[in-house]
Amino acid sequence: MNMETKVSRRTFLDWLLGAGLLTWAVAFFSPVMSYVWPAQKRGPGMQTVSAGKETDFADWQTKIVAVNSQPVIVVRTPQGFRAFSAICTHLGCIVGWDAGRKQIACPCHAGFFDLNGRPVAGPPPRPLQEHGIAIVNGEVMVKSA
Amino acid sequence: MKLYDKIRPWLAKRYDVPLVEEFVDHQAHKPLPEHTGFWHTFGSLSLYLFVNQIVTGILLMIYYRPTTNTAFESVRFIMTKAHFGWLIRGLHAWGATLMILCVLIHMIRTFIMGAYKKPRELTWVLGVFIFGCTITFGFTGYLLPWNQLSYWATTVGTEITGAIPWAGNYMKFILRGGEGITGETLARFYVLHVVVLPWALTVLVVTHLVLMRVQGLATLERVDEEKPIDPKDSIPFFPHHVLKEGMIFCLLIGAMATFVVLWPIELGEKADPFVTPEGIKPEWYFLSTYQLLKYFPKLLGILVSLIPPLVLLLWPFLDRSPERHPKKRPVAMTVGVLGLLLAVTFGALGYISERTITWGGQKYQFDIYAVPHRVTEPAKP
Repeated sequence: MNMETKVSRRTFLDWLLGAGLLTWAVAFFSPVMSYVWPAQKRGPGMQTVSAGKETDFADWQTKIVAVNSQPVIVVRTPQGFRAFSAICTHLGCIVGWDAGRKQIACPCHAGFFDLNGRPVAGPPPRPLQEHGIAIVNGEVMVKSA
Repeated sequence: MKLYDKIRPWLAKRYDVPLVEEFVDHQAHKPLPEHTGFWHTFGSLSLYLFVNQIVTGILLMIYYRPTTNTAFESVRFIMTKAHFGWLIRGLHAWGATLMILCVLIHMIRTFIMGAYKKPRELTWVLGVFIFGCTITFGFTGYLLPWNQLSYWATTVGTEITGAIPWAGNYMKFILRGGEGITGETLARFYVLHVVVLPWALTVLVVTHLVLMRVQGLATLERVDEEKPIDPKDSIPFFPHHVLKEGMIFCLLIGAMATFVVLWPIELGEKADPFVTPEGIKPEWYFLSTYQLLKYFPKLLGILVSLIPPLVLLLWPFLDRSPERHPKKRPVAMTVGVLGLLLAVTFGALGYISERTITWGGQKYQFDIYAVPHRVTEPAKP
């Protein structure tokens, strides 16, 4: 049985030309696409920042501080300090403190988080990331998550 | 002797002037179907508004500085110090809203009159891309003043992209130029807004217009049964239709100037990445999608919100009926009216959600799903 299929010189040259054009397009667009891809991607930061003196915080008082340029909410509870990423896990708005409910609240879509960072109401799908806290010489130090 | 008569011999010795004259004359006196009326002027109005956006946009670029430290201040400078800067910015901001409105009305008119049917399917498809391009203009331009509303609306808007499976996070990363909304995002949106989108829209609009002029305006006759327009029963493009457009254009200019003076677009506060203000809402043309996304989990919401643009894009291929007259297309008209009602309803729900409204002496707090809750005032001591 003859399985040989004939490819004409013209068809072969068309393929070659097509492949050449494709290679040219890839060679042209790959530097453009690489250029558009953001050049700086932050690695995990290891910053520890002060949120202020321990005595500056009354019970249930909160403060937003920047850790590795990201907002972190620090809450003083009667049991001690807690710190969570202040970026809502729903759509990225910055959370605040709802004094009435004693919960962390998102102003965008009424999402609420308890004092363990867990979502208790509204659309947030995940808990807020917790940050470590250390009291050093009366200073409230917030660690990177 | 007219100026043209003086320079015509000079031009005729160098170019094929009669050919150009014949082309211009043919285009200017092209007969239009007799049902061509004021509703047919919204396409041209969209084009005038596009020109308005280009002219005012170029003027704004003279003073605007696209960095996080200068964007807000430069817009404030334009509005308070630059001569007539308030007018230029006002015309640009109101022009954007009116352009989207005119494109929408033009699309609704085309839908009702069945003008998207064979042989004009591609003109419609291009029109849907023009609409997409116009609202992308709105989205990218909204961030440029770098105020609180624009910053947080962009944060929420781009965060939604992240929910698309596999590619979502990459798309969000490329769109933002990093993890968050920063100066990189501002630069990217600026480039898209002032270079990429204007050229893309120009190419789309020119192709759309060429197709429209080549195929002519649709009549209300059945598909494949359109008769050539009889000049006796037609409306000449010039001067009849051009005058109509001129009238509407004057009204538009008057309306825009009135809006700019009576309802100026405020600048608000400078963007603060650490404080999200209450009641962040997108512009009116995104309100229905914004509200729709609240009722579904992120991914499902994206899939559901992709249905309307896909249906719009494919509509000429889905609606196979040969009829054009709206009274003879009950199914298409029902789908169209229902779609429009849904969009308006979701938009209205999006508008009243997360607001407190007093009605009949009673205060109501509308939650994120726009469900009203009676607010009981604490008793006074």
